[in-house]
Amino acid sequence: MKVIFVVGKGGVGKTTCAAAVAFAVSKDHNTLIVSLDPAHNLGDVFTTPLSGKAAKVKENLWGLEVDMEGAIKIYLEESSRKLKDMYSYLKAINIEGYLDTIRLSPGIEEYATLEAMQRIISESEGKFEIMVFDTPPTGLTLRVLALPKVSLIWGEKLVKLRKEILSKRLAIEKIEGEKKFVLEGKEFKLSTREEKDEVMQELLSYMKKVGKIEELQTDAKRCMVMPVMNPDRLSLFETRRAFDTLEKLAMPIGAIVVNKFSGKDDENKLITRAESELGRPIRKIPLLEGEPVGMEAIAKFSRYLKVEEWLP
Amino acid sequence: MKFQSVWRLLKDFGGGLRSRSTEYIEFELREMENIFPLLLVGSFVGIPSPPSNISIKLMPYVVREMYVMGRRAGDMDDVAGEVFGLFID
Repeated sequence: MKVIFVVGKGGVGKTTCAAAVAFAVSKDHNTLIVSLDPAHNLGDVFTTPLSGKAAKVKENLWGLEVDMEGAIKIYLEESSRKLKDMYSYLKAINIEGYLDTIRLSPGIEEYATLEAMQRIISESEGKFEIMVFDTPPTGLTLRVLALPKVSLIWGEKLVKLRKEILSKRLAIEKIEGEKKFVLEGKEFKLSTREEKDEVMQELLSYMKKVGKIEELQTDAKRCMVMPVMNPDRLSLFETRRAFDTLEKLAMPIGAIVVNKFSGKDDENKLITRAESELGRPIRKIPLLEGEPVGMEAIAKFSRYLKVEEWLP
Repeated sequence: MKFQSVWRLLKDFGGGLRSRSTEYIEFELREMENIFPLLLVGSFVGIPSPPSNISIKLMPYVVREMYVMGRRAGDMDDVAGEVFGLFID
């Protein structure tokens, strides 16, 4: 399965470009287009109502809009339930207060987006040949894409520390026998082996899951980022910054789509500059007269992308 | 009767030796069990922390470590006492 991330500044036309790419590739491949943007309008572009479940848009093309509010709620509810069960024994820790803070803490949207992305990718394995992600504006998207790498670095550190804890516990157990820990009448057996330690197992399984995403993200045969920009300087600056981050994350970048190109001299100069600075092929989409909404308009739009020339 | 007393004496002596031998490891273990949850919830007190999703995933399984962290925080006013206690019988 191949994955294409369509990224760009807010308002440059990411959704239309994502829809056009998905339309183009769906001619030969079973394709799923997913909107991760909290402000969805993918369904509006296709003039087909979409929801959290994949719905058929046309032959070979399916679409879904992730309910981000719902995803955050599910993510927090699952975590809260587990936490409340365990921490009822530890009244000194105000777990309710901790959860309330987490709910409002920065970054929760990114984690929920990554969880949703992971779930959709794993559920789509074997069902679709190509997945196109219409993403939220650049800042949020880059943070989501960086999360697997950051999580892996932290995961490795925590695994190392946990291993030391377990080896010390094992050393003590060998001399003094099995140790138990009693809290509020509830008995906990202290785990000494990796395979029986819930913390280690949870860490390893999370790292495996995140590692798969990171592997996919950095595999040029399976993943491609398609930046979308407008022919203006602010858009170019943001695309350049996004390039820096994507290169640090070792993510393969495909053609750059310059949307709403009117053919003025200034714009031509800017495109030449973008081509030399970013070193990627550029696909120009002219400023269209009507709104690119509906299948016919998207089909016309998709021809400008010449997907077959740059998609692996 | 005498044999039982001697046996109990030897047993207690052995137990004492065993507990002496693990005292330092237990101290190190407590420190590590304190650091582990501190890292997980450290963002609340300005310590660099892993992404919150890792913390949220691990929190349900670190009850013991959270308890140790709470106890360690309570003992903070006598850290020197605890360290020197390791060297005094």
